[in-house]
Amino acid sequence: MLKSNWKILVRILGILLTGEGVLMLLCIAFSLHYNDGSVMAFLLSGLFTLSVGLFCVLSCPYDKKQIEKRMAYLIVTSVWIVMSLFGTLPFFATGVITNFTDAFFEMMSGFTTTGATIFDDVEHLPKALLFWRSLSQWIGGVGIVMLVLAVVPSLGINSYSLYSAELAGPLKAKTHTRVSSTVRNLWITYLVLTVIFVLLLWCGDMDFFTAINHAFTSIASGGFSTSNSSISQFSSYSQYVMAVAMWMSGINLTLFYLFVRVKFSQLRSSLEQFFSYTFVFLVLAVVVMFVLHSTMGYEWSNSFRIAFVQTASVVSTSGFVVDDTTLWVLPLNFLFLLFCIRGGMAGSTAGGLKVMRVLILEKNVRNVMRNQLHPNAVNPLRLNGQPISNDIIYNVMTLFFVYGITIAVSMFLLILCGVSTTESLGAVVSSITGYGPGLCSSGGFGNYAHFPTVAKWILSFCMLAGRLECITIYMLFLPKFWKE
Amino acid sequence: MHFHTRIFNTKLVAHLLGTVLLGIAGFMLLPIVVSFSCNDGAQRGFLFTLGVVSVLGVLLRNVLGRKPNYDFYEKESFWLTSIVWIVVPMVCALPYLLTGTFSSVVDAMFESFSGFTSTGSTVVTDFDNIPKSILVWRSMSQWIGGLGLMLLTIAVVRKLKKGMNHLYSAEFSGTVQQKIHPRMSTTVRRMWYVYIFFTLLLLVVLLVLGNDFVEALCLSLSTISTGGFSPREYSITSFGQSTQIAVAVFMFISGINISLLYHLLTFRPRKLWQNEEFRRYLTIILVASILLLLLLFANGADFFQAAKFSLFQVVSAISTTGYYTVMPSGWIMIVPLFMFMLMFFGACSGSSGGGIKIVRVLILFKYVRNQFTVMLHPRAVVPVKIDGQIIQTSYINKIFAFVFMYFVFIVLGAFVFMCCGLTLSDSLSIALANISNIGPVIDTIGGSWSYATLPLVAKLTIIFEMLLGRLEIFAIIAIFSPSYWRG
Repeated sequence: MLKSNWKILVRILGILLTGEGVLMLLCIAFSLHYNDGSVMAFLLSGLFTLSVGLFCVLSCPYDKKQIEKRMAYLIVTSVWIVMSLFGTLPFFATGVITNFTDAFFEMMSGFTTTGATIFDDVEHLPKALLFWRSLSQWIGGVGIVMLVLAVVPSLGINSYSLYSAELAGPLKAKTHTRVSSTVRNLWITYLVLTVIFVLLLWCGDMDFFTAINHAFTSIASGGFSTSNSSISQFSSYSQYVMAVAMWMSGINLTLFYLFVRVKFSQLRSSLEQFFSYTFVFLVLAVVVMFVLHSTMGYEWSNSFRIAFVQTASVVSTSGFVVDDTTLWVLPLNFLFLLFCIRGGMAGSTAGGLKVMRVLILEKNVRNVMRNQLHPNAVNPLRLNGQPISNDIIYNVMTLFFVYGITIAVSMFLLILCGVSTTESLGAVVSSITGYGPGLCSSGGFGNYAHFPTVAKWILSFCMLAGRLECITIYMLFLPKFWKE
Repeated sequence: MHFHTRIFNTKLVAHLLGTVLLGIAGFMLLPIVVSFSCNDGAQRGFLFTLGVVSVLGVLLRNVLGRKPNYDFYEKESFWLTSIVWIVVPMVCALPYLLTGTFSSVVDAMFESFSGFTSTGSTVVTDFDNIPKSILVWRSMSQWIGGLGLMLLTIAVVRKLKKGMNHLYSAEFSGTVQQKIHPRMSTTVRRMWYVYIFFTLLLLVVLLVLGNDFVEALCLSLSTISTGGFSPREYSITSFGQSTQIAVAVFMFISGINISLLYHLLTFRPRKLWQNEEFRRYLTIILVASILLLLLLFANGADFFQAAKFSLFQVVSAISTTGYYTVMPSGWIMIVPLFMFMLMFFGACSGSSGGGIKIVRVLILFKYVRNQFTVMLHPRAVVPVKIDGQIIQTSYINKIFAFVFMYFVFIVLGAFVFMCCGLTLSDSLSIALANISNIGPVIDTIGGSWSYATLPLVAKLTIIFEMLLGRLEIFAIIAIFSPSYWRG
């Protein structure tokens, strides 16, 4: 079955590579404008990617065959890997990275909207390359939403039954036409949001290039910046705008669409998650503000700004940094890691376990406690007033378990590579949740350049596993998966 | 029948609490005998405590809880479990204070709670000037707590019928309860016999190996209970080679389900092998020690020394005892981390060890594996089986919830420790080691083996974590939850 389906895989990858090639060619515009000497590099890598993509598409004509479930898992995983592989080409072609590990790490961090970087100094990179990094996050951000909201439910993949449960009525994609209209609506929402934030940032102290980069990476909950000190040197206006963008990037994209179309009744299906997400953001920000004021001695206005922007970056797992967080007290950094694991809302560009799942976990524990005392009582778990089926609860539990094991094992391996315990915990959690900065040397304005090669590969794997919510990727490691 | 508006059976709770206290008073005779024979100056302290415990016990049992109604439900069992586990260690901290071992109340509490929960974290710093009877008392408390105060209750109170299952599962939440005997009280009594048998066996072995009587007594009490208190400083590193090997063997034994040990003693060793959890227990120990050995060997350690070390350390971690032997050269960062992975598994269910318990982890792994199968083949029906028995999904959900709470409390504890100024790895390891009732964390807290230097808040948090771990979270949390008091 898998063998008869491989052409579909090649075709889908081909389509995406063609798109990627076109985007690389688009970057040439910036190379020409800034005359940064990367025209040839982008032209070559763009044409190469484009031709590989076209070759794949043409050699595997459209096939009406139903995509098999196992194929879907394979497609979802290989999309991220292949996109990242080809995405490394501009780095080699411009010669800024000569090391394959580094280039792959950077691109994986881009497409998974993590935002961890191996560059000590991004300010001296060709502008077009900076734009390429931001673009990868922007594509990766909307990409996951597309897959999750539009493509995957139509394939009926169980692990995402959660998302289809969260989807609002008319957007529940069941037929082919519905899928395409969903995709279109989401694209429009995403584009409009991006344009709004480009304009808002441009109004402030950012020039057009900086504005477009930061809008791209913030709305995708990415975290790549065009300056070495992340967003700390921008005016407070720009920082607040970024904070809003980051906060919004953690919200289910369909909610914006429904909001604009005044379909409030359908908003209700995600209201609990939305309030939980925003409430936690505000409470955490206030706590951070008080802690910063008392331990770092910042003025109230400063600590207010820093707390809100940094917290927005954490709860949406973006990874922008407004202050050297490595100097902050340890409990605060630890809290950040925990809230990264909680993540944004399902159906957003943010990573982590997702608010909805954490709510289910909490409520389930409460239910189990109640059952312990009243063994015969029946209390169905409700979210937004709707009962949640046991299958979903067990699914969430499974994911939580697998997520925990992934973190523990990766940390173990990282320590084996010689990274310190604290550093490895920070790096692993940060990668798997798509946050970006870790603790110690990789935290704050730091980067991952000094990590051992093996560690970088492990972290790249974590980013992918986190983005695809573990289960999809582990499925490929089962011998059962490959048996006919 | 749920939501029954029954009057809470206070009388029975008082009666049982009193009985437990009287039982404790009986156990206290041992350190008193030691104290008198060594003339270590702790006699008065112990006698005074004995008086307090007996008076309190008689008061609760025969005055407040006179002629109770023996009806017993979940609510009482949670309440009783929690109150016994809080009151008994508190009262039993008196000897530490009265003999002047500790000047601070919190330190005495810490040592007592660490004892009864069979954790083995210690705040003792000066082992040379401690009365011998106090050393015995520390280990004695571990021995009592190892099997459990509720099991003590069941064994002593013969009239208890209905509620015994609740009490049993409050401390021994195994999965497939293999009762040795259909009657609960007989089962529990036989468990105590097995427990006593192995303690005496180890005591004899240690004496034959030429150890001092008091030290042999302490070691055997603390080993069989998977406690981990040592009568000397630096865990048991300064004991002889043969003593350490004997301790390792008995740590391994005490990590096994006591019902299985009963079968072993009654010449039915096949039952041992038929038990899946036991087989996994063996596999984990073997695989983990070989891995650790290879890691140490690759880092330049002597092969035989490393082999002995890794086997000892793996057994110590997985049985949640927490003893340490001399570390070979080539000591690397990885060893503590390795131990933490094992601590998480914990010992077999129905043993005196702590942790999540192997059978639970096994069920979770099997369940997750099945989930993958279901995702590929949505119509497949694949139940989780342990020893050929199907495990209900509602039970699996309970395990998931338990593991989730475990995580949450480790993280919360670690957060408190960090707020007290500890480093991240110290905080995480202290939280994990204490909630899984292991105890000493090597190479942390500035290389010290004692928790004495920690701030007050951290010590109180550790006490809470130890208690949570010993009672497997739910009993303690239940009395703090509003729904417990409402309905």
